[in-house]
Amino acid sequence: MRAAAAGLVLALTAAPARADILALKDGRFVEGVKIDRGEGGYKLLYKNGEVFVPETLVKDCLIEGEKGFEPRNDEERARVDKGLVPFEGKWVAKSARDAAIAKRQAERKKRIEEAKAHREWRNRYTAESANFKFEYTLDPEIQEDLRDLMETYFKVFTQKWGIARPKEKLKVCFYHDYDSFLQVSGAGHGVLAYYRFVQPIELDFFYERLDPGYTAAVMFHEANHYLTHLINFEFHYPHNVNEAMAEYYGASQWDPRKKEMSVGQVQEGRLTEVLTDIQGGETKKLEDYLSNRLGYDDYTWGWSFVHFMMETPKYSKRFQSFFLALGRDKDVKRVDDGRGTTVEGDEIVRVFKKHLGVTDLAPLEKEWHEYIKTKLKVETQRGYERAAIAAQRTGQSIRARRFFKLAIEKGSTNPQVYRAYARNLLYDDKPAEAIELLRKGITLDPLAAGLYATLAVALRGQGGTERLAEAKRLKELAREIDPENLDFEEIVIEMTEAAGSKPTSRPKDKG
Amino acid sequence: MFQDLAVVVAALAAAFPPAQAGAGLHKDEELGFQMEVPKDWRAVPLAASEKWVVAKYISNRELQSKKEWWSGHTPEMRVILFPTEVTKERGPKVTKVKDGPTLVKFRSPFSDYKSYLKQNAEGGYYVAKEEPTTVNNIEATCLEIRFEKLTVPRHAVAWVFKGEDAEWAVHFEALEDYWEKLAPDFTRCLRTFKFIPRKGSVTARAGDNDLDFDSIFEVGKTSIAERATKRAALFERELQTAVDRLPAGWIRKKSPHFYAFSHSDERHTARVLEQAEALVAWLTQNFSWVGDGLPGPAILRICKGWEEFRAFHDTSNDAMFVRSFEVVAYKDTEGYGFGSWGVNGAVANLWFADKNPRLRWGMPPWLNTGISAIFGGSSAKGGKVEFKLDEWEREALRQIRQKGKLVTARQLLGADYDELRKFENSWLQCGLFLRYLWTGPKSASTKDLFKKYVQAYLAVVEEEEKAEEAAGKKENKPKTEEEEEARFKARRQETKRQADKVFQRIFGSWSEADWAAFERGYADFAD
Repeated sequence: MRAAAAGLVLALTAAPARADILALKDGRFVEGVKIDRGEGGYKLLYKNGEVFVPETLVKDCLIEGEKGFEPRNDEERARVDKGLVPFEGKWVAKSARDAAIAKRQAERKKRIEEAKAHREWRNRYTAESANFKFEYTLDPEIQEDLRDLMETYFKVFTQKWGIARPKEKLKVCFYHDYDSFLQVSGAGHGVLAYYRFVQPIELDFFYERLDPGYTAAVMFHEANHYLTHLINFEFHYPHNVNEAMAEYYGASQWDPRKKEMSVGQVQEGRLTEVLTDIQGGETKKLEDYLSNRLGYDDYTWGWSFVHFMMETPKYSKRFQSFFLALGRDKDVKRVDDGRGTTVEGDEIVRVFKKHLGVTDLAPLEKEWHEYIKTKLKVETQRGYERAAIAAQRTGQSIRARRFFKLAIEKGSTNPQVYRAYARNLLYDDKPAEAIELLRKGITLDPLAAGLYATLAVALRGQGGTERLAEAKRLKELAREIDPENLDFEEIVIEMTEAAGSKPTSRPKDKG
Repeated sequence: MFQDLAVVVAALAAAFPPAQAGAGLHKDEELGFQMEVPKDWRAVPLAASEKWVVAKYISNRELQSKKEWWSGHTPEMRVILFPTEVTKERGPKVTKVKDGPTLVKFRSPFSDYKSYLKQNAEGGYYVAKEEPTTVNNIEATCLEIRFEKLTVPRHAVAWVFKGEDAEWAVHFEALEDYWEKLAPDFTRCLRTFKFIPRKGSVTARAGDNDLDFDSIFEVGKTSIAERATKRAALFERELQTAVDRLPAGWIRKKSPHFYAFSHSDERHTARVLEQAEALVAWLTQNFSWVGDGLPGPAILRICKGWEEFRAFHDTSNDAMFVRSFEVVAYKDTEGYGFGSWGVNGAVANLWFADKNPRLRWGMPPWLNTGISAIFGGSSAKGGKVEFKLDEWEREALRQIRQKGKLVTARQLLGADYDELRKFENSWLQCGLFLRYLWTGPKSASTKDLFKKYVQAYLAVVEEEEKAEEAAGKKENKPKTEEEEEARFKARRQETKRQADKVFQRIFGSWSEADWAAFERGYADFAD
C-alpha cells in the first residue's frame, strides 16, 4: 500500500564531523549534541548538563564513533587480547563485529536521514487506500494507523447515513507537526485542520505528538465535513449544524488493535467550555443556535445540542432526518452561497420544527440545558486536562488545581499539563510541590525544555546559593534544548524581576 | 508646531536622496549594494516602521490568474537585510527604567530568510529546491519556493547573499501561470547583485528601537502638554523616516493638518487632502467636547493605485501600523469605490486617539461599529463632509425593515460584541442608529442625547478604572472555589455591567412611554 513518491530525490545534508542523532518515537529528532549510551537509555551531553532519555521513548539512535568494548575482568581481558569481542551473546573476531556494526550504523544513518529528509514537503511520502490519497511527512507506521482509521470512519459513516461512494478519492495531507502544517497548508495560526470544499478538494491536518488521541479527534472532526459534503456535493451545510455534527463525530474513539471506532462520546474539551459559560452566568438560546447566529459557540453549545439529539432515542431518528433533509429534500429553500447552495437561519428553524414535530422551541431548549447539566460529564484524563486549563485561563486557580490533580491521577503525561500545574502551585506559594511535580514531568519527557525553564524559576524563588546556581544552569539548559523558543514566559518573568529586584533570599530549607 | 515641522521636513528632504528610484539599477550607497531591477518596474515606499525590507519594487502591471477568477497579483521584488549583529540577538531583552517600569522587548523575530518567510508568507508554501551558487564572488543560496495551498498559486525565487556582516535575501515572486516567462529575467537581475562601498551601517534599521507610541495614549498618567510634546517628537521621527524612504517620482504637499506624500496625480491628491481636512474640521466642530487632548498632524500617503497601496502595506510582520500617525490612501482606478473608506476611518481614529484615547480604544460596541460605518462612507464636497448612504446600504436597510429585523435602540445600546454579531447587518444598523442620535430626536428628553450618553459613558469608564486600580491594590487571593467563581462571573459580565451602568445613568428616569416614543421616532427615521 505504501509507496515512495516516484522519482524522489532525497536531499541529504552533509553530516558534520560527529553527527549523533536521536530519533524519538513521537517524531522528534535531536541532533547537534553529543550522545552516549547509558543504562536503559541515552545520555545527551548538553553544555549545561546531562539529559537522560529512556530507551522507551527512543525509536532510533546514531552515535558516531562509539567506544568499543571495555573488559571488566581478567577472563574478558584475555579474550580481548586474542582479538575477540562479545557481540550479541557470542565472542567473535573484532573485525567481524566491527564490520557488522559499521553496516548497521550505515543502515541506521540512512534510515534516520531519510526520515529527516521526508519531513520536507518536497520529499513527502505518498500512498493510496480504497477511498483516500495520502501525502504526508511523518513516519509511515503512524500514517498506516491513520489510514485504517479513516477507512473505517468512511465505512461507518457512509453506511449509517446512506451515502454513495464518490468517483474520486479524497486527497489527505498529513503533516508531522503544527509548524509544518501552518507553513505548507497555509492555515492561519489557531487553525488545527481544514477541509477544502472547493476543487481541488483536500483535507489537511497534523500529528500532535503530545496527544496522539487529539490528532484522531481533529481528523474525525475535519473528515466529517467531507463525509457530510458527500450527501450533496452542490450543497454546503450551514456553520451551525456543520460544525456541531463534526464535533459530535470528533469525539469518536478508535481502537487500533480491533480496528473499530465507536461514536457518541463526550467532547470533554467542548463540554468544559459550555460549563465555563454556565458558570459565568451564560446560556445559549436554541432559537439562536438553529438560526445560525452563534458563531464560535456552534463548536461548543452546538455540539452539546447535536449530542443531545443524536443520543436521545426519541429524537435521534428525527434529527437525522432533519440533517439529511437540509441537503436533499426538495421542499427546503436553498440559497446561492457563491460556490453552491446553503440554507439560511429561518429556513433551518422551519425544517427543524417540521422534522422534530415541534411548534415551540422553548420546551426543547429547557430539556437540552437540563441534558447538559445532568447527562454530560467530564471524567477522563484529557477532559480533566482541558477543564484545568480552562479554569486557569479564567483566573480560577483553586478549581484548576483540583482538575490538574485529577488529570495526573488519571495518567496524564503531557509536559504542558505538568508545567501549567507547576505554575499554578508556584502562584499558590507551594514551590516544593511544584519542584517535585516538574522533576516527575522531566522523567516523562526529558526533552521538554519548558519544564526546565519553570523548574529554574521555582528554584530561584526558593533562594539559596546552590539553588540559584542550579536555576541558572537549568535556564540555560532549557534554551540549549530548544534554542528556537527563547521567550519562555518564566525566563521573561525572571529577567523582569531580576531587572527590578534581587532574587528572593528565603532560608534555604524553606519548601 | 506645524510650521516648525515643515522646515525640518524640507531640510531632511534635501539631505537624503532616495535609494529607491525608478526601475533599472537599484543602487544603495548607504547600505552598500546594487542590482538591476526588471525594466519598467516601480519602487514602492517603505513604511517608517519597516526594519527588514530595504528595497521593494513591483511590476508596472497586475497579472490575472488563468485558472482562478478574480485572482490578480503584481510581480514583485524585495530585498531583505539580515544583519548578523541583529539576528544573533534573539529572545527577550529586559530594561529597568530608573524609577519607572521594567520594559520587556523581544529582539529579532527572524534568524534568517527562512524564518522571515515563515512569518511573512501569504498562503501555504514549501521550499521546492535549495542549492548553492556564487554571484560576483559572493556566496549565495538559491531557494525556489512554491505557494500552492489556500492561495492563488505563485512561485518565488530567493537568492540569499552572504556578506561579511549580513545576509541579503533578494526575493522575486509572481503567479505560477507566468513563471516560466518571467523567471529568466528575475535570474538575470539576481546575477547582477554586488556589494559597493558602504557609507552607512547595516544595523541602522533592524537595530532600531520601536517608537514608544503607547505612552502618548496613557490618559490620566501624564499631562496633556506632556503627551502633546511626546507626540510631536514621535511624529517628527516618523516624518523624517517617511521622507528618507520616499522613492523618486512622489510629490509632497502640505495642508493645515497633513503632510501628503503622493504618487497619484495633482487633482486626486488635492481631493484626498480636501476630504481629510474636511473630516478633521467636522470632527473639531462637532466632537471637541469628547476630550481635552490636542490632535496633532499626520502623514497622508496617497498611492498610485490598489497594487501600490497593497505593496506598501505588505510590510514585515513586526512593523507597527496600529498606532502610527500615517493615513494611507490610493487612487481607485478600478471603480470599486473603496478608495476613501480607509482614509476616513484612519483620520477619525487618529483624531479620537489624540483627543481622548480612552474613548478611541474603549468605545461601546454599537458606537465603535456605528462610527466605522458612518465615517467609512463619508465624502467631502466644497470642503464640507457629507454622510450619505450609498445604494447598496439603502437596499440592505430596506430589506432589514421589510424582514422585520430592525433591532430596537434599547437592544443596540445594551449589546456587547457577541450580541451585535447576531443582528442582521449590525454594522449598518449601528450606523443608522448613530445618524438618528445625531440628527433625529428633538424632544426635551432627547435633546443632546448623544453628547450626554458619551459623557456619561466616559465618566463610568473613568470611575471603573479608578475602582479597579483601588481594588487591585487591596485585593486578596480568593480562598475557595466559590469565591473564585463569583469573581469570574463578575468579570464575565463586566461589559454588560458597564453598559447597564451607563444605561441607568442616562435612561434611568425614562418611563416606558418615553421609550416607546423614542423607539417610534427611531423606526420612523429608519423608514
